[in-house]
Amino acid sequence: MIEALISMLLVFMIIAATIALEMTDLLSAVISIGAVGIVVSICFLLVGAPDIASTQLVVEVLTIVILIRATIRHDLVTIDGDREFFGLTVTIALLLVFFIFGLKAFWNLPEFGVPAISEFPDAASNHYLLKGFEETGSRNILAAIIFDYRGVDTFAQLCALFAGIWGAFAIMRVQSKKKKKKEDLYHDKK
Amino acid sequence: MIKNEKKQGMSLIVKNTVRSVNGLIFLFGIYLTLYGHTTPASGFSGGIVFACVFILMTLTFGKGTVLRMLGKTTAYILNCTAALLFLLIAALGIAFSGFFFDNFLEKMYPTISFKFFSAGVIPFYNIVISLYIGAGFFMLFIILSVRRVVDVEGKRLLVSTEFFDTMEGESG
Repeated sequence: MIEALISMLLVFMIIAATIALEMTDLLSAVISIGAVGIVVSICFLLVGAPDIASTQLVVEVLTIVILIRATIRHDLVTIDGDREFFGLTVTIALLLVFFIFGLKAFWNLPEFGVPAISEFPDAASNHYLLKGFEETGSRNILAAIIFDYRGVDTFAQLCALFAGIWGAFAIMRVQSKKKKKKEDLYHDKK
Repeated sequence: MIKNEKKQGMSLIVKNTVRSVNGLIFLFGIYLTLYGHTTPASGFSGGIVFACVFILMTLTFGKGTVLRMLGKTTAYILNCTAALLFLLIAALGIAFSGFFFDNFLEKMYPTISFKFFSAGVIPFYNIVISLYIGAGFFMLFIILSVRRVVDVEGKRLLVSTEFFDTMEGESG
């Protein structure tokens, strides 16, 4: 039942993503991207990960707000003309290779509800699931993993976010002090 | 410098709804953060909810209200302080038990329960990360919405609209 529902949602996601690519109106494209994100959140909920679902939902709303804020004022630039033969060939070949690889990987997937770690008793994930509660005392195993077992990973993630935010701030900063007079002139005119 | 503050932002219905709902959303963020170690939630979700509250207020009331409440400088300081605190808690592990990112509180006072005070240092990580993410995403939104490219005498200049009123006629 859940599998049928999830595959229907997947088809819906592919359709929405295609619409987002093909739409000429930027606002409609942003809204279809939002539809994709919300369906991803529903999929997480169906698979049984409510915390990731809630985070995904909130992030999606935030992304849509920022995208609308950023795109709504800009003009649309369309690219016309024929595509290059070489680029098209490489794209199709890579897509074919990826498709074959994906098909192979899909046949090797374990059944739904039977995780791959059950075949390997020595895997690290098994240790987390069996001993995680005793060792960290945290009932939320995800929090135990990201803050205790894999803390350095989280730290690197935060560093990347830090660099991103401050990089955006550095790029978007107002003119340097020398040119400030011009700005004041503009303010006065207003 | 901000003129006609009452006319800024969206209509009266939206403003009143946001005023009544705002506190509840903030409370939900606090809940997600504080109970991150026992229920399905974490500091990441809580922080993003905090950022969303302020973004919602920016969109409904205009920039002036929010910038007066949580200034840009405050957001920068919060962001950097939270990052340093995260590192400090991780480094305390070295001091107490010899390993970076070690859950030393849980080793000293073992608590195996569903209670609020459990899981050692994980709740502290949650609180710090929620501050970090909330301030960071709010900064990102403020940077994107406050700066604007304007044509001045034929040149395209990046201008800050922080201190004067341009929200009129473009809200929504």
